[in-house]
Amino acid sequence: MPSSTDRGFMVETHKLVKRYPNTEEAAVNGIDLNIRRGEIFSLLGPNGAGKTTIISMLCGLLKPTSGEAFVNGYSIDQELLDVKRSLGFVPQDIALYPTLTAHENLRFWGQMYGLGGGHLKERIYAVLEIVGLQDRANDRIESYSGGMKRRINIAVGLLHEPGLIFMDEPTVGIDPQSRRSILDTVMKLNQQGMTVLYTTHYMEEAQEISDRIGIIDHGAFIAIGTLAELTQLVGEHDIITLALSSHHSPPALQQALERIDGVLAVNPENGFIRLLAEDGNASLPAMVAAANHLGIKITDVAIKEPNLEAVFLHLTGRSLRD
Amino acid sequence: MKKILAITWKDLLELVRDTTALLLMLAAPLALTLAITFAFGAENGSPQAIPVIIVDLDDDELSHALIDVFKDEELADLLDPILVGDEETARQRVDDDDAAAAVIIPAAFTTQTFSPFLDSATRVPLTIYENPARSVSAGVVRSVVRQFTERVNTAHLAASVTIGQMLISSYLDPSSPGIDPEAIGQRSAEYAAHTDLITLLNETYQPNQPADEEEIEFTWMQYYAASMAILFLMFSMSSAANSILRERDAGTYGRLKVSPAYRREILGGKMLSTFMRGLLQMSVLIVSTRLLLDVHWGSTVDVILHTGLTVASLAALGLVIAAIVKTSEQASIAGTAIVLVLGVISGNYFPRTNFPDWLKAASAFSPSTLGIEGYQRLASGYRYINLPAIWVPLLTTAILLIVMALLGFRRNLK
Repeated sequence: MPSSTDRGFMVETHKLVKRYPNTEEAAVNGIDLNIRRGEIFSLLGPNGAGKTTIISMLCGLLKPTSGEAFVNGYSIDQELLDVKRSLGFVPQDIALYPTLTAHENLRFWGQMYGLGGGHLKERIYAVLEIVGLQDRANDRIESYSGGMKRRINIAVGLLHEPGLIFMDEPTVGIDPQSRRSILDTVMKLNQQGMTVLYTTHYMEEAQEISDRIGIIDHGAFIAIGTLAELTQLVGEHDIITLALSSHHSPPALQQALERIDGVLAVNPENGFIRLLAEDGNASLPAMVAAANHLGIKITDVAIKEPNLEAVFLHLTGRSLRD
Repeated sequence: MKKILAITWKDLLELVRDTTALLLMLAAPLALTLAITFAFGAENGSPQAIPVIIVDLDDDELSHALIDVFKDEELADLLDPILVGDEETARQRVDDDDAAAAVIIPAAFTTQTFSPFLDSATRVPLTIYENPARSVSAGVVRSVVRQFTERVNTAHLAASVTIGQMLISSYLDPSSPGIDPEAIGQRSAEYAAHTDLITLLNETYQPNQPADEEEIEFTWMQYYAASMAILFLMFSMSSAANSILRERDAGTYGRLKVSPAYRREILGGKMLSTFMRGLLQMSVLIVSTRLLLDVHWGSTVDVILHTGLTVASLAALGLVIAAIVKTSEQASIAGTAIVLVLGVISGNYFPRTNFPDWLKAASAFSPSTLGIEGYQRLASGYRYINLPAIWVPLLTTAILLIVMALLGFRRNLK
């Protein structure tokens, strides 16, 4: 049987399970995942869906309860050191030493990957250039903005020139400009041949950068495919967002909306109701009438073409932000 | 090894950037040493009577005079003389830390001292058997005995000269039994040339003294410089060892685990950095107290060796604390509590000499106790050859604690 790399997979898992002690539900429940060389694969799902647990198992931080996984052809059970050498890791936390400068941090992490001397120096300047922070190399991390810290966090993962990088929610809690910069960096790296496993709960990011997306919920994939393949699952449906004057969405309104012809799913959030409908424009008058009937004022309405949000709503009946 | 050194260097760099930690490590022990020393108001002496064992194998005029000196009312607050019947018991009680020293007055002490037939080369021995753990108190006993022997020597000289003059002036008959005019004249001349009749044999004051052979006075400043340095060393070792848990909380330990570094390299780096941090702290304190407060620490090489062992055992203690708790907050609380308790029972705040026996026994092998006692001995002029009783337990403690820490981390840092 050919190895996973012979089949062109940088990551391959078979029925991967992670069950924590004293919990009924498995955090990861029998995942089968194949990531091809040179693609950006995004794991999309709400917080707690199991994205970080999958990455943690793949890089050796957590031991799977059962199943098997291969990274760059190496078994995470038998050849963990080779697995670690093969991949770059960008954790969700900013895993840097705040009182050290960016250069000192990079030098330290480079040494942990066995780099040294002139080669390490070259790599430090190369990764600083990739993330665009050469001019801040000698400033302490504690003086950086959140976005700059995230960029150095990524730079650490690139030091040893891995062919595969795991990025666990690398844009959490940063400003739009830094997010843009990080997404551009990811796509640039991918264009240079790097395989990327990217986790996020931001649908827009997954839509923009991914070759393929795995939508995960409660530790299992509910859909895997390209953006086009996933949106086809929803069909020619629209996603409608109603903004309400009140922060609460009365159950009576939810029930009334569910009874409208052509409405497929209703998901109330704080001050909003998100609906999946066969034809948004056709259903909208009935929706407004239902709200008026109950004395609820609608302050804004948005109708969108099918996207990943619609897919998640369609498949789970819940919003990604739940 | 490169990864171990990289982790060590990184940790030390972080320490240098942390002003608060540096102040706690270096300035606080110096300030407390000064404050406590001045609070005691004296640089020498002891706040309580010093127990001293006396063995009177002579039971004659001169030995009674020496015992009277120890029982003198003026010295009642300073000395607590205890008479015992035999030399073996006396030595044993000193060994058991019941007394600061034993004064052993030999049989025929009086007769020999006053014998007109004593060979001019012979000296009458008077033994002081000192307790190395109470070097300050033993020094006081030595000083009292020395004063007494000087008085006897002076009086004996005066008597010899007087007898010689009486012979010359024919007040005494040279042909009387027991009178040898030639011998008396020779001895008078020798005493006048400052020779001592009674020789003090100090059995614990070893021959390997510092090169300058100057008299070494152990002071409170000396005691507290060592005890405060060790107290704060315990705090910083506990904090340094806890850094591995803080790294876990901050996510950097996870990243280290994902790197191709073995766990033994990560733990080795953390242990070495904790040790180096302790060495740095003690070195700065020893040098600064020497320069600023004129504290004498002892032979440089021996002090370095003792410091290395003390730091190793206290670093290992800190690592054990970090290895058995679950969070860095727990480690901070447990570390502080253990350091405070160890500080009390190990004599970091007050010397252990006045502690009850059970407390002394309980703290005998605490790294802090061993560290302080080692520094006391070195400051009193002892050399490496006298330190195995301290160093062997320190090394054993360090090894045991390191093994415990490794087992704890193995379980806790999965």
